[in-house]
Amino acid sequence: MKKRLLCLYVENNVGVLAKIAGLFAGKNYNLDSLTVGPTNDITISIMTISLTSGDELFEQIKKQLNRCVEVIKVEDLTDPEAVTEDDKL
Amino acid sequence: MRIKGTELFIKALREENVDTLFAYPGAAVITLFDELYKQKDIRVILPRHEQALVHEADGFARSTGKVGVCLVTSGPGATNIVTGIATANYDSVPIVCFCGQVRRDLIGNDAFQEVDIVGITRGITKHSMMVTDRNQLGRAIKEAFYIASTGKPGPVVVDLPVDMINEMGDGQYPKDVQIRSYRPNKAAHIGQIKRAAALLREAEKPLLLAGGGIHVSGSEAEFTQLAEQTRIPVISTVMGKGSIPTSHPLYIGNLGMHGCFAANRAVMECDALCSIGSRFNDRITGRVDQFAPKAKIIHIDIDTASISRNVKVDIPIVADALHAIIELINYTGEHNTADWRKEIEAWQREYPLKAAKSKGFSSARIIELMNRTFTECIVVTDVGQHQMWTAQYLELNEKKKLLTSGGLGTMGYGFPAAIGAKLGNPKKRVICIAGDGGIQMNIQELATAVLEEIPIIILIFNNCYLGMVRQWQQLMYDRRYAGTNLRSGNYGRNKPEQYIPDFVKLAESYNAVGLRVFNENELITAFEAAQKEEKRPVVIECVIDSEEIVLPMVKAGCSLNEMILGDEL
Repeated sequence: MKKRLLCLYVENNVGVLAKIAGLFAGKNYNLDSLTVGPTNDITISIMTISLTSGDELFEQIKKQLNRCVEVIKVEDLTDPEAVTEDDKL
Repeated sequence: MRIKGTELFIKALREENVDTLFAYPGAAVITLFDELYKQKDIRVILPRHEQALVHEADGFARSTGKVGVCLVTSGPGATNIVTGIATANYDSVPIVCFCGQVRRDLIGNDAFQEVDIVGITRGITKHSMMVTDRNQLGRAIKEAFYIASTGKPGPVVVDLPVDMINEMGDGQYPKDVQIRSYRPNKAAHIGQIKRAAALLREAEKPLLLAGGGIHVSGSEAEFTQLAEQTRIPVISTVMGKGSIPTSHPLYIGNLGMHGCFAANRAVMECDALCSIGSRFNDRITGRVDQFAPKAKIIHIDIDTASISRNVKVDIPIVADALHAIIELINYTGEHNTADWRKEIEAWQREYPLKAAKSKGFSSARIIELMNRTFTECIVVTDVGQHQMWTAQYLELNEKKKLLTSGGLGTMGYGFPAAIGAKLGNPKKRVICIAGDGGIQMNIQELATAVLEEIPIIILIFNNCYLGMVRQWQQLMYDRRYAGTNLRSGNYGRNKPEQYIPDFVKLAESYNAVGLRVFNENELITAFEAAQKEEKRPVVIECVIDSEEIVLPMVKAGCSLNEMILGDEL
C-alpha cells in the first residue's frame, strides 16, 4: 500500500464529478481526498485525487478513469519530482 | 435554418440510417411521437413494456451490427429500461436510449414523472448525458451514435427535457464528430503482436480462447483462418461460441462453469493461452489462482481496463479483435500441434458432452433436433439451464448465430431480443429458446409479435422450476427447493397437475399459435407446422423432465479441474 496522487483533466460538464465519484463508489475503491478546480480553459476542469492503494489496484483505477468518455487525461503525480515539475508549470 | 427540436430529432435518425425505432409514448415524448406520426421512413415498434423495448433494440443491434434505438418517456418509462441498458452494457451492444424528461425549470422539483435517469444509469452505460441547450441537440445525438458504436460498443442514454425538444433552434445535423476525450484505438501494437506470435510458436501446447469480442468486431472468418493457419485448437466462452464453426476439427468446446471436460482440461494443461475478446469472467476462470497454471497468457481486448484485471497476463494487446487477428495471421505460420491435439481428442473421447440421464424428454435431444431441422437461423436464448444446454449442444457456423445475455444473465431477455432480431433480419428464421420462468418475465410481447406479424418460433422448456437455481439447491443445498418451484402456492397444492399459465391457451388468446409437445415425434410435427407460419409467432411448450441438470459443472469458486461430471450423482 502506498500513497498516490492523481491529476485528472476533465470536461467541465454537469455530472462529471458524480461520474468520477460514482466510479470510485461503484467499484469499491477508497479515496483520501478529492478537489476540483478550474483551468485556464473554461471548458476543462482539473481534479486532484489522493488515495492509498497497492500497485495492481492503482493500475486498474487509472485504466477505469481513462475509460470515462469525459476524462481528457489522467496524470500520475505520485512521484514527488513530478509534483514539483507540475508546480513549476 | 431554424427548426423545432422534434424535427431535428427525426432528421438525425434519418441521417444515422435508423430504419427501426423501439418506442413507448408518454407525456414527455408526446411531441416526438407526433413528429414520428408524420413520417414514413422509420418503422416505429410499440412494445408492451419498456423493459422488453430495450431488449428488442438489443436483439436488433446484436443481429445486424447497427445501433439499436429506443425512445421512452420520463420517470417510470426511463426506469423500466435500466435492466436492458445494463444487459447491453455487459455484452457490449451499441444502443442509444432517448428518454423524455420534465421541463428544465422543473428538474430537481420532484415533478410528476421526474427521475434522474442520467444519474441512475451512470454506472451501467458507456456514456449518459442530458441535453439542456437546444442548439447542442444535433451534436449530442451525433456523439451518442458515435460513442455507442465505436471502440468497445455500449449503451448511451440521452435525456431530453420536453421544453428543450419543443424549442426552435439550429437545424443542422453535424456530419462528423470530434471528441477530444474519446479517441478509440483499433490498431494493435506490432511489437506486442510479434511477441505473441513468438510465444505461440515456441509453445508445445498452445490454445486459442475465443470471446464475444470476435462477434462484436465481425472477425469470425479471420479467426477461423488464424486457427487453420497455426493449427492451434480453439475453446470458446458462451459469448464467443460460433467464432469458428462448431463442427470444425480444431474446435473443442466451451470452457468454464458448464464447459466441456476437454476444454477445461485443455486450459489446465496448455502452456500458451491466447485470449481474444474475452474479459476472463469468473464464470470461465473458476478459481482464478488455479486458472491455466502452466500457461503464459496473451490477452487481446479493446478495453484496457479488462487486461490483467481478473487474470494476470504476460502479453497484453489493446486492440480491436479484427485488427489484432489480421496482424497475428501476418506474423504466424504453421505449428506442429499434432501431439497436443491427440491429447485433447483423448479427453473428448473420455468425457464427451452427453445428455444427463434423464427420465423424460431430454433437452439435448431437443437441441439436436433443432440442429437437424434448421440449417440457417438466429437462435436467441433466455437465461438459465436451457441457455447452458443451448450453449453446449447448438451447432453454429456462418449461417447459424446465437444471441444470449452472457454478462448480466438477464431473465426475460430472450423473447423480446428474438423479436428485435427478426425485425433486423426479416428473411432469416429466428428461434427463441426460453425456460418457463424467464418467458413469463416478458410474455406480454406476444401482443407486439402478433400485431407486427413477426413469425418467430418460441420454444419453452417447461420443467416447472427455476431450473438453474433448483440445480444449485439439488447439488449444494440438500434439495431444499426454496422459491424455485413454479407450481407452489395453495392453488398448486390442490391441483398439482395444472401448470399456471396454460401456455397454449395463453398463446391462442394473443392469436398466436400454441402447441404443447411431450416427445421428439411431437416436436418434429410441431416444427413442421411452425415453419409454415409466415405471419404469426408459434409458441411450442416442451414439457421436459423436472430434475434434469446441466453437466458438467464447476461450482462457483472451484478450480476448472474440479468438474462434476455426473458419474458420481
